[in-house]
Amino acid sequence: MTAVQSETPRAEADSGYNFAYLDEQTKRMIRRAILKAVAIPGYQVPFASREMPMPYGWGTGGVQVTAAVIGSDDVLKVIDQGSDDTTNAVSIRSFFVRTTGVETTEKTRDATLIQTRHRVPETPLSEDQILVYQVPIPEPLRFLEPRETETRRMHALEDYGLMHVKLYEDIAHHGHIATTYAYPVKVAGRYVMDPSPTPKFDNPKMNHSPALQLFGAGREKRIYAIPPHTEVVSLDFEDHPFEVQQWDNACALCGATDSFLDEVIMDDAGKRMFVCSDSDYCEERRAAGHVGEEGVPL
Amino acid sequence: MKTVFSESPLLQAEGIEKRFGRVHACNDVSLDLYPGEVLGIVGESGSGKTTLLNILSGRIEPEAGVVEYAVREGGMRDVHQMGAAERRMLMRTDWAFVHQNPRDGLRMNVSAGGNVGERLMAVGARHYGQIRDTAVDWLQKVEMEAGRIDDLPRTFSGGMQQRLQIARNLVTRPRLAFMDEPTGGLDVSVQARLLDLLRGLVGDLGLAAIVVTHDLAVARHLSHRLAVMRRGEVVETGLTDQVLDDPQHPYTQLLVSSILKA
Amino acid sequence: MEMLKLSGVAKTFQLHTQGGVSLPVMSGVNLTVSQGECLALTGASGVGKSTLMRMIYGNFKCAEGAILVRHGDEWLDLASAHPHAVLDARRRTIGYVSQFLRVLPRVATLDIVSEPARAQGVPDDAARAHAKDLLTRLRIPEALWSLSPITFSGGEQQRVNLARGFAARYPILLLDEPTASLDAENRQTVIEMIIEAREAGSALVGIFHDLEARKQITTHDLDLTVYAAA
Repeated sequence: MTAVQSETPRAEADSGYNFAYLDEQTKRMIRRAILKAVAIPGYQVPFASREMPMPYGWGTGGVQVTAAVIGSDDVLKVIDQGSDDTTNAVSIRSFFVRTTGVETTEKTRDATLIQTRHRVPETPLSEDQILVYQVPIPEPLRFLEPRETETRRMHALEDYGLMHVKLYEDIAHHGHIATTYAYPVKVAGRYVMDPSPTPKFDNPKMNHSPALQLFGAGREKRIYAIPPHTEVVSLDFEDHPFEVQQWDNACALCGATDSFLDEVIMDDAGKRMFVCSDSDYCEERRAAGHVGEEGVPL
Repeated sequence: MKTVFSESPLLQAEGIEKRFGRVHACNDVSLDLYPGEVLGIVGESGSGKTTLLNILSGRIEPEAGVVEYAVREGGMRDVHQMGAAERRMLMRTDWAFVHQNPRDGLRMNVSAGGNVGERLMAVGARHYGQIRDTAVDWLQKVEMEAGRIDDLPRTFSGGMQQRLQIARNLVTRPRLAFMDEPTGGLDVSVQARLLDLLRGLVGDLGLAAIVVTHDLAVARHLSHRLAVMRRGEVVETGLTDQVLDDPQHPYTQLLVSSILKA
Repeated sequence: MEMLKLSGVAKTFQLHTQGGVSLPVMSGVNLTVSQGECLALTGASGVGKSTLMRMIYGNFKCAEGAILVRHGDEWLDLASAHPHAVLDARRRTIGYVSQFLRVLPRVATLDIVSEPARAQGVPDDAARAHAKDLLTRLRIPEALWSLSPITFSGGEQQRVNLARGFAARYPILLLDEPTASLDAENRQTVIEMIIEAREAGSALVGIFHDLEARKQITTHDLDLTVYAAA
């Protein structure tokens, strides 16, 4: 096969691998799936997911999507739970450094391509950015209707009553919609989509985002997308409207009150602190002089 | 029960054919059903009743023949030529399907209220409070305690599950119900209660129904007209009490004479 | 005015389960009943009196001949009518008091008795009020009205059945042994009720083994023996 390499690995990359690990035909196949996904916002496009040199559950879907869209002049950021320095983020970042040699960053602003697990960065995204989500279970109807044949038919016929049954059950049992992550959304007024296990806090950021949002599920072999400037509505009831999580605390390090906070246990006595889950956002604020209750000025 | 019927049928089937291998499940079956009318289909197991019900309700395709339904917008539509979306819309608004086994018709991992509310939500109800009020109303209509609205169906008795299935189906006030042995598998005492309930609901809602049953007592109490099936053929039709009290066809006579009188 | 006309009515039972034996019951039955008349069907047991009554009600099939009832402004042939027309005739035109009460369990006596009037469009409270009058007149204790008659005694069931038959005003009323299993007092009440209905213009057909009652109620007799099939 005369695989024409569209990109040349930069000098920093290991030789012996094709650019971004996958062969060019595979990348084309994935790009075709991505194009289809962009054309039908929220629709799950099957694709021939490849074996990757990492186990399922480590973001093989997101990695394949990233590999298919990354170019040698991209600046890559990888986050896991909002943080750039967790195991998953570090290993995926180093995977792409080794196979492409692209420049990486921890700054949301500087990145052209961001692969994420479980969070949307707090810093608003722009038109020249792509956000790639790692998705474990792409089918939002799965937990109510286990038959894939039936859920596909339900999507085809826009038969989404069941999705509200799930929210109804939440309110009936908890008094409010207790779903806090993987909170179902309707994309462009048509397909109901699982926004991957991101907290519902991030759902509003997906709505009319100027960035292209791509979702890859490796084990389940599905790709779906939210094109830029697309309406993304979180499902709810008139008398139980969608609401994002709120905290009584501000970030202990940077004092932010508008970010998603992680609760961190400090000692065996139950001391805890709340800090921004988005490490870059927290850094940026501290660099700008914001200080939380337990923070120290940089 | 309602006894005045309009001139034009709600459902009309003509020349229905269906084979499973060598078994002729439906052999040139034709029948009609009028708004507000209950048609009983009786016959022993394997006579093709359930197959016919599935064909009439668009769940399986006949090999030949036409099933037409008078849609709300007016006019007769071929049930099997409709798009899947339109048929599904009928299934969750204008039609009801009551299965013999409530487990086939209920979501067992969803509360009673969620089960009743599903059709409402499917057609766009988005007010939790109103959905819940309607669910309570329907639970009471089927003689269930409103206090059990958040309980899972598995905590209910068979009779309660069947009543819940009926509530879940009738909540959108359909015009046509397909019922497959609705009292099958229930204790006799529970059967009577369910029959009485069904009869009342059919009368109050002006619901038309096709009830498949092998229980002639159920057929007598629920249906206006009867069709007797044997080996895929309708061998006798007529007014329910006439068919049961003065059966003409040898098979109907056998069926009626085989029943133990209580 | 003529209300009911039978011409050339015949009935044969084909007993397919018993070797296909053919049991001819009657043939060539002609009769006419007008408003204000009460016709008694007579003849020995087995001559087909109940069978004929049930044919007139559409409960037994009439294979031969015509059974015309004045249904509204027109004659309806029950022998060939569509089941829907038969049901409509039963709702508006023909009532039938059988010997046995056949009802669903759990339905209250008052609901059973008032049902025919409601089916004719009488408002619920008026239908109930009339049903209460009838039950009172037939000496069914008020304590029983809210109960299902399934557990009542034979005489009580028969009176509930009668009350139901008289609850709606049928232009044609069929009575199968209306005074059987009644005590003297109730028997007299029922006789009075039947006479009132007749005098109010209903056309009645009945089977009365109670000769005294028959004498008081009926205007003419028809001995079915002459139509008995050979």
